[in-house]
Parts: sequence; C-alpha cells; structure tokens
Amino acid sequence: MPAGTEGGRGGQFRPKDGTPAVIEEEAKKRIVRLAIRRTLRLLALSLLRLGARGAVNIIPIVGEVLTAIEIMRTISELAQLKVDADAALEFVKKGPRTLQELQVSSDSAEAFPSYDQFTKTEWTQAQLAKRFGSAGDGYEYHHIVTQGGANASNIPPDQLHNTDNIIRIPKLLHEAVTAEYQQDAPDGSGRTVYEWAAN
Amino acid sequence: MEVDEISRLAEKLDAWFDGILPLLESNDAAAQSKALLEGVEIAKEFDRIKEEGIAVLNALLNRQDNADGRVASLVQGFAFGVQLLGALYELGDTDGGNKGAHLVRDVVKKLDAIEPGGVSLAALLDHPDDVVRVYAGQYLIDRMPERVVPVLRSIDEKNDGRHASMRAMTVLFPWDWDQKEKERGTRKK
Repeated sequence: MPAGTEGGRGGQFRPKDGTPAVIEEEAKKRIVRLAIRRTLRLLALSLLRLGARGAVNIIPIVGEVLTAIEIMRTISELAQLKVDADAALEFVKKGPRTLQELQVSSDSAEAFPSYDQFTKTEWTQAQLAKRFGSAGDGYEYHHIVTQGGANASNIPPDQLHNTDNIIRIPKLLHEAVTAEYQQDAPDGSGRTVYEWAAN
Repeated sequence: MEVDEISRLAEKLDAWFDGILPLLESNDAAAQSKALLEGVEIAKEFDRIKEEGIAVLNALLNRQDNADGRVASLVQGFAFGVQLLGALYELGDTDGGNKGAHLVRDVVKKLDAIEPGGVSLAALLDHPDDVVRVYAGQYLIDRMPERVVPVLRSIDEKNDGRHASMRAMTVLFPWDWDQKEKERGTRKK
C-alpha cells in the first residue's frame, strides 16, 4: 500500500520506528516467515509424492525412502524458494514504492483484449517478455483489480486488461496477498475476504 | 491436544529451514536427502496435529452438557478453534484455517442460540492470546464497540504482520469507514 493513504495505512509492512538495521532485521523475519509457509507446502507435496512413488530408483535413508528424482525435484524447488526469498528481501529493504514504480509500464497504458492473452498462455508470456521483459527471477505479475467474478462484467475490458492494472511484485509477497484474500471473511458469512470486500 | 503443539512445530520448521539453506548450494546429496526426510517428518506431524485439532473441535461441538456446562465448553471451543485457525493461517494453510473458521462459526451459532448477545464471549476480550481477543472482537464489535474497538486497535497497532494484527485491521477498516459515513450523515443534517 502506498505511503500517505487515508487512515495512515501507508507503509503497513514497514516498522514504524527503528534504525535501518532494525527495519532490515524485521523485514528479514517477515520474509523468512513467508518462505516457511511455502516450505511447508513443498514438504507436504513431497509427502504426497512419497506416498504415490513407484518402486524404482529408491534411496533408503534414516528408515524412510525417497526416489532420487523426488529428492532432486524438491531440493530444486527449495533452491528456487531461496531465490524468491532473497528477491522479496531485497524488495522490502528498499522501502515503500509508488504505484507508478510497480506498474509494468509507467509511460502509457496498453490494453489487452483478454486476461488469457496477458498472462495465461506461453505465447503471451513470450509477448510480455518481449514488451516489458521477464517479471524477473523471484517476481510475478499481479493484477491489482482481479479479472474474474463481478469485475468481468462490471468493469470495461479495456480498463481491466490494461497495463495500468498490472504490477510486478516478488512471488512471496504475491502469494501472501493471495492467501490473505482467500481467508474466511470477518462477517461470519462463510465468504472469503475477497468475496466480502467485493460487496 | 494443545494448540501450542503447532507453535512448537513452527519453531521446529524454522530451525529446519535454517539448517537446509546452506545445503542447497552444496553437492552433498546424502546430507540434502537426510535433511529433506526430516522436513517430510515435520510435514507429517503438521498433518497429524491439524487433524487432531479439527477432531477436538468437532467433539466439543457435539458434546452434551447441561446448559451452564454447555456455554463453558462452547467458549472453550471458540478459544481453541481460533487459536488453531490462527496457527494454520500463520503457516499458510488457508484451507485448513478456513475449515477451522467454519467450525468456529458453528460454535458461535450454538452459543447465540443458548445465550443471545455473546456475553460469554466477552470474557475472551481479556484472553492473553491476541488471536483469541481479535476473533472475540470480530463477533462482538457491533454489540459492544466501546469495549471491542480499543482491544482491536491495540492489536492492529502492533503491525507485526501476524495473522492477529492483519485480522484486527480487516475488522477495523469497515468499522472506521462506517463511523466516518455516520459522521458525514450527521453533519449533513
């Protein structure tokens, strides 16, 4: 959230006081916490694959077994997680950004005919990379106003599928934002926070 | 089963994560495999604790007590349930946390049926755990705002990125908005 927003919510994820060293340490703790979230998911997936593995190329270790391929795959995912965590930490260390700084194209807005064309297909990713460059290692493209649900019919396509609506943020932060919106809403209705906030 | 088990597991996961980071850049496949299996054990333990927690909550919901005992066990179930869902959200298990939230809503419905007004939940506004105070506040903010709002405000101001402070912010944001709208309406008149 940009600094200086109504209600003083700007810089929500930045400690309000402290030296740069304290701020950096706090940021690091928060990023590690986000990384740990994904670690648990990776391990849970390993667990599932462990249960479903075939009986080939098995390595017995400490009373358990994993396939060599499985180990390599999970270690490689964990290595990528480290890259993502480092990217998020670097991002947070630099402090709050303006919206313009995060948008994929700050010079002029460019409309896309459909969401799929923007992010879903390989062809579009290639096109995106050609136009804006890759999102970057440890980064993802994020839609500020989401594309589905009521937005699809309430907001004109040229405003929804528009580079003004797309920002580039670290994957770990993107995952954290998405997870917050998928939680149970505070009104006791059983909707998600996203569904609740949209109404 | 105690919710503290999840916090202890989170600490174990922290230590495991610190341990595996240097191994990721090494070519020591044996050490990597050993560390990975230790992590898989943590994941298994996490699943076990979660399942047990949900089972405890279900058992509390279905318990047959007399009226007084019923209110006490439901309030206890509420505190346990929100600690469980808070811990699950904290670890990024959104589905597990939402499952816990669903059960907590059932607890609140049952409490409301016995004792409309949420008087018993109000005792939880003094609970030592932030997440319990926040969720009690979430259900009571419209009924006793003068007590709830300062509690939520103090947790929100911690601004520590934890589930409790994020949730306090989510509850307070529409509340503050409504108050501003009411003020604007009063001024117009």
